[in-house]
Amino acid sequence: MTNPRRSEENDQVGSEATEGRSRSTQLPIVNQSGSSRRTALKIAGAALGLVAFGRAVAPMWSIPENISIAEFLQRHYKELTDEDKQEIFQRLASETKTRYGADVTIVDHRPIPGVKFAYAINLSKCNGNGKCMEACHRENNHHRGTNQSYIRVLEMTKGSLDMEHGTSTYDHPTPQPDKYYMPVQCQQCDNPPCVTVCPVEATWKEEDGIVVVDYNWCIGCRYCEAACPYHARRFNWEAVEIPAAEINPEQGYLSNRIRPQGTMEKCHFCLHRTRQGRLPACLEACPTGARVFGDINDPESSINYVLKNKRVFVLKEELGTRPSFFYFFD
Amino acid sequence: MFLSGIVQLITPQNSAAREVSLPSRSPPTVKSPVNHATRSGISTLTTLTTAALVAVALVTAWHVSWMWDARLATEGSGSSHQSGATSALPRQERRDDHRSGDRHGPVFPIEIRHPQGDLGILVSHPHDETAVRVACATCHATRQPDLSNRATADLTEFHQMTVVDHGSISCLSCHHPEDYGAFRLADGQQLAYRDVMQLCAQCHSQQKRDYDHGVHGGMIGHWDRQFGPQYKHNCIDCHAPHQPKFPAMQATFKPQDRFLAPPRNSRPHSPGH
Repeated sequence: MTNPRRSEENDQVGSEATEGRSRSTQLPIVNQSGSSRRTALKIAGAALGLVAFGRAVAPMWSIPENISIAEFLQRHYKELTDEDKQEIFQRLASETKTRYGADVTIVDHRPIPGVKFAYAINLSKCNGNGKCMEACHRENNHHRGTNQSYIRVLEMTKGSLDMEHGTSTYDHPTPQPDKYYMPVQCQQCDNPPCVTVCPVEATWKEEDGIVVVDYNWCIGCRYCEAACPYHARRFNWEAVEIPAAEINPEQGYLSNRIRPQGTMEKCHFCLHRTRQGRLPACLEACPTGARVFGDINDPESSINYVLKNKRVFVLKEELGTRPSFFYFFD
Repeated sequence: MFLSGIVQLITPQNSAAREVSLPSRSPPTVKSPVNHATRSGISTLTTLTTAALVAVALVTAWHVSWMWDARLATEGSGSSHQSGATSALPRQERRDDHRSGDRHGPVFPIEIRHPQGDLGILVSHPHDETAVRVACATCHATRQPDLSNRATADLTEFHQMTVVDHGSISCLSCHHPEDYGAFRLADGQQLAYRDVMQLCAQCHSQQKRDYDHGVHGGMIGHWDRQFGPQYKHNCIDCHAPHQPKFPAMQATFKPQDRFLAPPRNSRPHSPGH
């Protein structure tokens, strides 16, 4: 740039081109420093580019012969073996130990073959005492700072089923004579909008009907929170803080293990309990017996008794989400 | 050189300009400043383009390798919904065995907590005011029943303070006049205290039916009794027999919703904020 000879030489470009002369002129030693730097940069850049390209396509060298494209792509979405999983669970458990000082076991509970879960709440019984919210809070290792819970008990005016007009902040003895109380949590839809919108497939519906979130795969974009018409999804705005003594050590990878900050979470029907045949924590905590849980594929189950014998409705049926969660009246 | 050849292929305009310009040493013309600026711009542009390409390539390579690493590290998403992976749980395997064999195989019982001890009443101790449970038979074994007494208001001693808000039934609708340690069913049969649910079920058959189907009264334990038992209360664990209406409660636990609750002033749990 500041080299006078260079600018002089540069100045000649136009005139040379127009006059078309001096092809035979001896090459001047011009632009030496500039050229060498530029060349060096180009070489370096090209080398880096080649290296990067080589790194990017490196796996292609390992393609076996006679492999279909589908098979080829499958290889890179590797299905973990049980040993791989155990390694990961142990790592997560040791991280919990380091950060929270609690000894926990993390297990990947799988669905029970042939079982599809459903939940029902008796709105004639629920009196809005909120014990379910508290049980969820404790069972699922929620952040203590916000009293987080997967459940919201809404106080509703009798005569209306519009949950958008319910309030969860009531603070008076319940039940009030002109109100009824409707707990809302994840409805485990058969047509879940939250799953459709997830850009990274971090949430999906499992065989037993439970919509789960892989907290390590979630990027925290909160699309699912916006998509859920039941306001059932929660975002971990803050890093979870729980005293070690209060941590529930029985944890599931897809359920109640302590969630990282910046990820979504939601009700999972306590799958770490229910996939072992146990009842959800919110049901056990309910002092009014308003909650019913069971296997909808079992014709003798209590949930099927409700569906056959009670006046049942689902929330926001018009949206076509097809919930596995029902409300009924005696 | 091979590499610089590649770069030149990528940037043909610049290399052409240089090939034309390099041999020339003609004097400057009025157009030269423009050309100078143009060439300098092209040169800068080329460098920037190359750098950008390299950057893109690097980022791509890093991203791809990260994706693969991450996929390997995050099994839950990748594997669990694509495969019916078998569980590491011995209990679950046991359950699978049950399933494959007999859907209605051996199951654990439903354990109902029956009332224990003798039918009695809580009274305050005459000396220290503590609550003492006294069996009904303590007094009633020696007293003749007066079948004309229908409510506590009819009584002249004892039980006047007992509030009964249970429909229009009288004391002896439930209590047995000849054995106050037991109940009397509507057909006159005697019923042991521990079987109190049968007494209630005479009128509240709908509730009893729901209860028998696990839809009234709640439970703890297992929804699937192939895994373990179910524990349930009896009627009078939740409903006081004389005032069976479920009492009012006060919600004590409230989650703080970000957009409903006022912002918290101190945020001890969020060092990032």
